[in-house]
Amino acid sequence: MSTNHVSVNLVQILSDLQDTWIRPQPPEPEEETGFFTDTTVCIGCKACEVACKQWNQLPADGFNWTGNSYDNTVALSDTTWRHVAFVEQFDSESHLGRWLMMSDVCKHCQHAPCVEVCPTGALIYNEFGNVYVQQDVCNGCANCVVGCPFGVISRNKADGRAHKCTLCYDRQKDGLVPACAKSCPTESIKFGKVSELREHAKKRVEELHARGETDAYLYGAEASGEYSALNSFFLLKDNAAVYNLPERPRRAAAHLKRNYLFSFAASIALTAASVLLFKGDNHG
Amino acid sequence: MAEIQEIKDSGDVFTTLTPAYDIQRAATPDRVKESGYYGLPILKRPFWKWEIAMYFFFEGISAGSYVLCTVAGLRDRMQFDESIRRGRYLSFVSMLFCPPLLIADLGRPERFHHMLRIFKKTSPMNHGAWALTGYGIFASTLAVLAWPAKALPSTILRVLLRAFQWIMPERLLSVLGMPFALTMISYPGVLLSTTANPVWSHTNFLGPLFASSSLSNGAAALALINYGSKDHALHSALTRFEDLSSAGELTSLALYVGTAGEATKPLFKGKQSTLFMVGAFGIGLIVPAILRRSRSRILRHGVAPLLTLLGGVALKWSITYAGQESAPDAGLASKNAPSKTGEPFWGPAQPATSYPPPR
Repeated sequence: MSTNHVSVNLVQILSDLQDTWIRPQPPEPEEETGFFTDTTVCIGCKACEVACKQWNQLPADGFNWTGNSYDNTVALSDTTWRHVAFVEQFDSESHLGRWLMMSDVCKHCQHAPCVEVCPTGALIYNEFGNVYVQQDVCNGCANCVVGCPFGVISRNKADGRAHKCTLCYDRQKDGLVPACAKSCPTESIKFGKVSELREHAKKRVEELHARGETDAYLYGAEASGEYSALNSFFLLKDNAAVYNLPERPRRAAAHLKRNYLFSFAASIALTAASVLLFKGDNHG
Repeated sequence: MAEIQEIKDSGDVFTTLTPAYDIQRAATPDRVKESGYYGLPILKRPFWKWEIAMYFFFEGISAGSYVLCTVAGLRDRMQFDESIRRGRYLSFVSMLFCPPLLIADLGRPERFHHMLRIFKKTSPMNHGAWALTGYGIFASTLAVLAWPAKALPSTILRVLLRAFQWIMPERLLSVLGMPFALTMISYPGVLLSTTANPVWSHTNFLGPLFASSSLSNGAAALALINYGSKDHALHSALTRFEDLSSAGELTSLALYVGTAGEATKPLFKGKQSTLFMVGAFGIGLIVPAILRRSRSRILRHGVAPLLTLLGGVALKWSITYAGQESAPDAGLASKNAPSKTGEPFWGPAQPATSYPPPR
């Protein structure tokens, strides 16, 4: 390699390195967008899964047959950003069955643990208030994987970075509806401004209650306990764990101060105690 | 609770792509009747494995010995001079293991410096990256200051090193490095605690546990490298410090198990149980405490610290790996956040057992 080549490579490396610390002006914030997934009208067609895979060019997950339900996708992952859960229930008294179907997706939490623990700043809230992984920044530390209480985000084995639903950031930029919502034939997946979606969802619950479907409720429409509201929230009809959603998701950052306090108290107390122990012979 | 087997099959391209493939394969017809969603996990398993466990061990020795050497230096520089010199080399050498282990653990190792793009209040890993950077500079500089100039091969180097040692205020530097060293000691437990993994997060005492283990490991390593030294003041100080830090470790351990309760199951049952109970608790805490009271010098200043170090690896290894077994526990992952009432944040507490027929 000639000296010229070496210097060109060095310049390239240095300019790449410099790019790490340069942060361009972010776009002006717009009104927050999200999903309202009304599971009562989901028919389990999986069009959302297919549309998501297609638009985002996600690889296949293998030829898997679970044999426990129509769900062969099983879970959200780095390569599956929409997943339709199939819950089959049978009432032993009335001998009637019911079928709960839910299209699961990243919850786009208003205070997202993945964003809070991300050490590189790869995970951000974009101008639409969506939780977004900047793929050019992520270094695959996998802290978000253990941070997410919903098990949504994961690190890809092939490319080493964290991936999850982008809420079709690229489509939103062009004024298009996300692929899953666009393809949903029953409008179970509704995309829009979060404030409007919440209004709509409340009305929908009231409507269902009036019809005698009193078990309908909203999962994540408002903050509860230590957890924030979700910008992609759900209308469910049974306990959250039935759909493989946590009843009480944990927000890691809510426990940060106390953990640090106890930890530093222990290390400083032991250090202070060691001051009394180290004394030379001339101290007696 | 679904047992998730890790699948590594070079003949199946999909196992090389997504880590969720293991979860997919865990979904089988015989799990239809299991609680929750066919007994499938809610959380994904951690990617943090042996690299992180060993990093916790080495950084504990390094920062622990740094803190003790600094304290000893402030108390009586003359008395502990030789021991501090060895301690500075120890802190430096054990610190050298840390960055490679952390970088090897990344999905994109060449982007390790992205940790230092920003400072983030809510990210313990970010705090750790900054602390290690700062601590590394202090530990390295102090090792250079401790190096005997006469051992260098050329006159120019000797003169340069002497000048450097004359210019740099060694004790001031060691004190300035203390906040970084104390952060290195305090943050690893917090890093694990501020996640959604039940065995790590259902407590506030993992931080104190790791902190006291790190300080105790630092003292043990100092005792070992000074084994040949006749410095009685040092050995008695280190032995008494071991007693204190072990007491701290035991207290934190009891509080950890007491507060996390059911979530600590992987430590007492399963693959990590032997390592945790026999290794971390028995060999690492109880046996050395007895040996430190022995009359034999070898047992007191040789075997006891060695076992303390082995206990340190066992503790950090077993707790790191316990995360692998805790993540698939959907029951704990569902009731993950603390709650006074025990009510879910949204929706009913119990799954429906019957539903009205459609009208």
